[in-house]
Amino acid sequence: MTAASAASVAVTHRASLEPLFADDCADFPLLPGVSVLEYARTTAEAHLPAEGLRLRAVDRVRFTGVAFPGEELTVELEWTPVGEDEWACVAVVSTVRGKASSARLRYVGEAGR
Amino acid sequence: MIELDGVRRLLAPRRPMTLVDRVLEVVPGERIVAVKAVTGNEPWYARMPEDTPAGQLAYPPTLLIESWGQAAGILADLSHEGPKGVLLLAGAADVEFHRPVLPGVLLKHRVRLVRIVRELVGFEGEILVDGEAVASIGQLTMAYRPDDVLRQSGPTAPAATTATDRPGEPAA
Repeated sequence: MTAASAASVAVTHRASLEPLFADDCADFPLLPGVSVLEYARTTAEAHLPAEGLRLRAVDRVRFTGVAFPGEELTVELEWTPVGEDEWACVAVVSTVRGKASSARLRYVGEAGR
Repeated sequence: MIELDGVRRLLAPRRPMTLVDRVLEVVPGERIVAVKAVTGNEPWYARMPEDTPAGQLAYPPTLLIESWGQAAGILADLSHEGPKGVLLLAGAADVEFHRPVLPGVLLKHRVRLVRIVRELVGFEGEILVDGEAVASIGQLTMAYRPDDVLRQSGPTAPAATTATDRPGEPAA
């Protein structure tokens, strides 16, 4: 994906612990918040606006609704350059009931390490 | 000192989600120091080929937050005097990852309790490896939710709003 087309992305997943555990989560009544954040992170890293970026910070994350195993999670990303070789990614994770989480992730390249 | 059996009694998450191995020190209402060993046998490495270069074996940053958060959860349960229920992550801010964490290290979680306001518990702290901070957590907020609220929830239920969404509540 090119930098231009990576500025705004929406991806829908089937919620499970799969990004972390290669497993469903039938025993979990709720999807853990960390798993919701992991969907945001892995989706962001599948659509990086530049090569060689790594996660430097979670500037903020708020969990405003629950997500359940097996339901659809849609991750919407908005990338913005915030410095030399540094990008901010606002990631909003939604279910059919509305927003479950929003986060601002910050990625840096070689210059920011 | 609280060993793994005691940690498992205090934490709701079960294997493979139990990410605290031992509590070295805890002062209810103030602080906790806990450790977690990172190994290449953990399930998040299972799908990686055996010859994956070391540089690609960084421990998932979200699990650093989860592991540190579990130490914070133990501190919350030993500190919070009101109704408890289920402890959920409400939010976090200013979480910085200073360098990648690779298998073979011992994470030391230092957590300080900053405030308890009704069902909300706020923390700050850092994660150390060999005395060097690999991550810092500026602010992390957890919220106790009643057990029955969660049992009544389901995929068709209305959105469950965290306590931090209520007007007048401190932001997560």
